[in-house]
Formats: sequence, structure tokens, C-alpha cells
Amino acid sequence: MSSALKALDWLVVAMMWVGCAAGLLMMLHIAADVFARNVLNDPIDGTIEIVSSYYMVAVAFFPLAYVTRGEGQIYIDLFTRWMPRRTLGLIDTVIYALTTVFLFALAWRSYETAHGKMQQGEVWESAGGYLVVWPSRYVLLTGVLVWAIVTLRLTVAGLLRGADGIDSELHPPLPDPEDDLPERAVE
Amino acid sequence: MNVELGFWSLGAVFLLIAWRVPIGIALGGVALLGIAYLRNWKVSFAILGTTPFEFVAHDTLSAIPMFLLMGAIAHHSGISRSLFKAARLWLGGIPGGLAISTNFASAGFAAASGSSVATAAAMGRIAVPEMLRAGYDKGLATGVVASAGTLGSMIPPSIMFVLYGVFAEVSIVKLLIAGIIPGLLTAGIYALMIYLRAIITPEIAPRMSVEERIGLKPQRWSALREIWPLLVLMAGIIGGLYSGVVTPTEAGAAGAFLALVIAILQRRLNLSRFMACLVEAMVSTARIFFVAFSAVLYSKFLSMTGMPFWFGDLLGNLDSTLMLILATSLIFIVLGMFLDSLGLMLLTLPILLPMFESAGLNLIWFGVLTVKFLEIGLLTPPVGFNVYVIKAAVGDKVPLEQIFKGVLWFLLCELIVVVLLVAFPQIALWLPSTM
Repeated sequence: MSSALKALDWLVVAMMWVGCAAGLLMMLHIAADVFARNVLNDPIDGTIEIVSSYYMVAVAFFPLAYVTRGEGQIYIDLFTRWMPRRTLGLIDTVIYALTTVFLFALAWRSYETAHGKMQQGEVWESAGGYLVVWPSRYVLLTGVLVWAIVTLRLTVAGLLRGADGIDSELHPPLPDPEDDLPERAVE
Repeated sequence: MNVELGFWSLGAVFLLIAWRVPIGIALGGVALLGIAYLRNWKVSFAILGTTPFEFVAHDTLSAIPMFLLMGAIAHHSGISRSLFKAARLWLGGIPGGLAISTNFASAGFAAASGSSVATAAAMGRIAVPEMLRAGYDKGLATGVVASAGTLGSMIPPSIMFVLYGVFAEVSIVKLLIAGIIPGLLTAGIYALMIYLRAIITPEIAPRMSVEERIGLKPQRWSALREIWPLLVLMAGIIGGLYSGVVTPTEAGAAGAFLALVIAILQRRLNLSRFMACLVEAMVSTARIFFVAFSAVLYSKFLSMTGMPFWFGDLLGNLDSTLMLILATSLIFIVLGMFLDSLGLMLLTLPILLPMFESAGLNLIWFGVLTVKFLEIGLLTPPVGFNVYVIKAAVGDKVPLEQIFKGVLWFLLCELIVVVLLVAFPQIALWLPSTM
């Protein structure tokens, strides 16, 4: 069991880095296209389509599980801030359970769509040719599925051990490198 | 028509958000159930299965991760500190000088950053301690950083304008350009207010001694040496957008790339800090997109209820544009007290946009007004995100109430800017009209 959980942790972090790599590639690819078009008068074919169908999907969906396990999705704690930790643990468990249901529904429907698109061999027209797009549907599916498993794990932790259980499953985000910024580098 | 259901769903979304349900889950969950109720589960699941991909796989939205990356690189390479240092050397000697320097350094940083919260966070840790050391009033020192941080959304690049442009289906380039003058105007009015307050009540901003002021002069030009490459780059990017040479996505990607090159050449960024920039930008992107695609699901449901059209008809009977704007301001200000800016915009646009469209109002101008109201929402209690960002940066040194009190003066300035924007829409529309 614990090795499965470790593997999940590893996967969550790995997917976040793949999302980051997609962001980096997106920057380099578009910057190269701007240079090629404006300086060499020879744009890189298919840039918009590759950016939209691959990099964007990876950037948007791969880090989501990491977000939930770390700093969390965007929420408001104004009205519940005063509540005791035990009650908050209960509320969070219910929220994680509802989120899990929503995400498994999303994953299931995304699978149906991805499978259908794969069978159709989904392509986008691009620069006089065709770009195969259907694999990107599975990128979305993977991101949502792993995210759903993470929220399921948080739900179980909340059910078993309340707020303590949830806290033990959450991981603080990476430290802010600004904290160790050497003075010399910024002065 | 199921307008009533639309209202119930809005109530449900607010209730869920108040019970700390993530905004994306609240919007997506209510939309899923609502569509199933109105049509059936098959339709609801079909929309769920296609909307997220269709929304995200969109080249216009790719400006968002690129703008966030550019801002993160600018921040982590220490440009915020250099900007403040240069502004302090040039403006620090005048009454209220440190606060005015913070204000203009934030405006400068806003030209590299697409987010208000990021701009406030970048300046908070640098400028507030310096002002407190100089004996500035705590409310003024923290209020100026929280308020000037909001320029991040108005001065291009801007994440909010990109999202607004996608939802309102108007030119994002024109929106970004439309934000320049209102952003600078806001910074100018802030500076004037600080200057006047510092003259009337000098104890809130002790002025530098004559010797100190003389001491600033020799370092002025060397301070500019550190920041000019990035400022030239940002001016070039805005120029590129204005002239139509680059799209917002291309401006973001080329801007991030060139900011990276500048940071490496100036030895301000190493690999680990660059990795942190990437993580920060991509994680923020994922969080924003989750709320955004859930908001798309919700707006699909709302349009099925007929609620936006009902509001449109209601306003068709009102022939005063001013009434419409007043009502909109009220909605934004009240909701802005409780919701974060992203949730607020994405929740209200499906209802407000058809109203403005049917009233024949310019949607670029409405976009600028919307972002202005979102900025105000970042400063109003109890949920003023920028104030919390500054609170996190200053710790126990300044109580939360004092920051909100300090922000009040800036909210007064915002009121003046809103009145000017409503009375003279050309403030926003002139620059894009020359494109």
C-alpha cells in the first residue's frame, strides 16, 4: 500500500514537471516562431496548433493534482475561518468527497471523448497538412484521473483521521527561492 | 425559460463558495446538476466531456502562462528590487517620496507582470520595510503597496484582460492597449494624493534630510543601468502589440524569453530560480484554467436558463446607461468584498455582458471598467486579496485593520478614476482607436 502511495506522490510531482516542461517548450517554440517570421521571413509551420492542442493542455491539466496536494485550488475561507479545526476537517472531507465524485465523472467523460476521438483519428488542419490531436485528449484524461485519485486519497485520510489525516497528506509547496536570494544578485 | 432556476443556482454557488468549496468545483458541480435538471444527464455529461478541452486548447489563452512566466522571471531576477531602488533614488527626496517611489516602481513592475497579486507580492517585501524604517505611517506604507499592486492588472500585460477578451469575444490586443492610460492615470492620481497628504500631514511620511537628498544624486544614473534593459523590452513589447507585429501570446513568450536572456546576462537568475519561476507560472496557470473552464460550464448552464437574456430585456426597458453602470458598479463592489477577482469576473460576465451588448455599449470600455472594479475588489474588506498579500509579507508588524485603513485613501482615488472613466470613455478608448 505504502509503495503505491509513494508511486502516486512521484507521479504527481513528475506530472507537474512535465507541465512545466510544456510551458518552457511553449515559450521557446513561440519565441522561435516570432524570430523566424519577423527576421527570417519564414514562420515555423503549425506553431499555433501545436501550442493550443499540446502545450496548453499539458500546462493546464498536468499540475492540477500537485496543486490540490500542495497550496490547494482557489477557495474562500472567510466564513469558515473561525471554525474549530475538527469541524474544518469534517467540512474538508465532505468537499474532497464531492470533488472526487465530480472529477471521476469528468475523467469518465473525458475518457469517452478521448476514446471516440482516437477511433476517429482526430486531426487539425495545419499549414497545409494535418496535426494529429487525439493523443492530447489522453493528456487531459491523465491529468484529471491522477487529480481524482489524489482527492480520493485526501477523502479517505479525512474519513479515517479527520483534520490530522488531511494535513498529513498535504505537502507544502516548493519553498520560495526569494527567501534565499543572495543580496549580491539583487542589489 | 427557467430564470428562477438561474437565480437559485447563483445562490447555490455562493453558498458553496462560502463553505470553502473551491470555486471551480462550485461552478462546475452546479452547472453539471443544473444542466441535468434542465435537459438530462446525457446532455450534461456530453458538455462535461468536451468543454474543458475545447476551452483550454485555445491559442489566445496561451498568453496567460506566458504573461505569468514573464512576471515570475522579472520578480525572481530581482527586477522589483532594482525598480524600487531606482525610483527611490529619483523620487525619494520629494514629500512622501518613498511611497511615491513604491507607487511608480509598482507601475513599472506591472509592465512585466500580468497579475495584481503578484505585483503586490513582489513589492511588499521590498518597499514596506524600507518605508517603516524611514518612520512612515504604517497604514500609508502598506496601503500604497497593496493599492499600487492592482496596477498589475490594468497596465499590460494583464491576465484579466486576456480572460475578459476570450469571454466577451473582443480584441485582446485592444483591451491591453486600452489599459495603458487608465493604469498610468491611476498611478498619477495615487502619487498626487500621497504628495498632498505628505505636505498636509508631514508626520505620516517624514521627509529625507537635505544631506540625504544630496546623497541620492550620484547613484541615480547607475541605478537606471540595472533596469533599462527590461524597461526597454517591456516598452518594445507594448509597441509590438500596438503596431500589430505580435499577438499577445507572442508578446508574452518573446517577452519571457528575452527577460530570461537579460536576467542571465545580468547574472540575476540561476537554474534553480528559473525552475521556481516555471513552477510558479504553470501552477498558477492550472489554478486559473480550472476556475475558467468551470465558469464556461456554468455560463453554458446559465444561458440555458435564459437568465442573461432576461437581464438584457430588463435593461432594454431602462434607457439610462448611467443606471446600468451604477447597478454594475454596485454588483462588482458588493461581490468584490467576498469573492476573489477571477471568480468574480467569471461569475458575473455571463450575466453582465449580454446586458452591455444589448445596451449598445462599447465592450472594450466595459472591459477596462470591469478590471477597474476587480482591482477595487482586491482592496475592499473583508476579502481584499492584495491586503492579505501585504499582511503575509509584513507579518505582525502591521495589523490587518491598519492596512485596510491605509487603503481607504487609495479607494477614494479609485472612485475618482472610475468617475473619470465613466464620464470620459475616451481615456480608455482613445489609444486603441488609433491602432
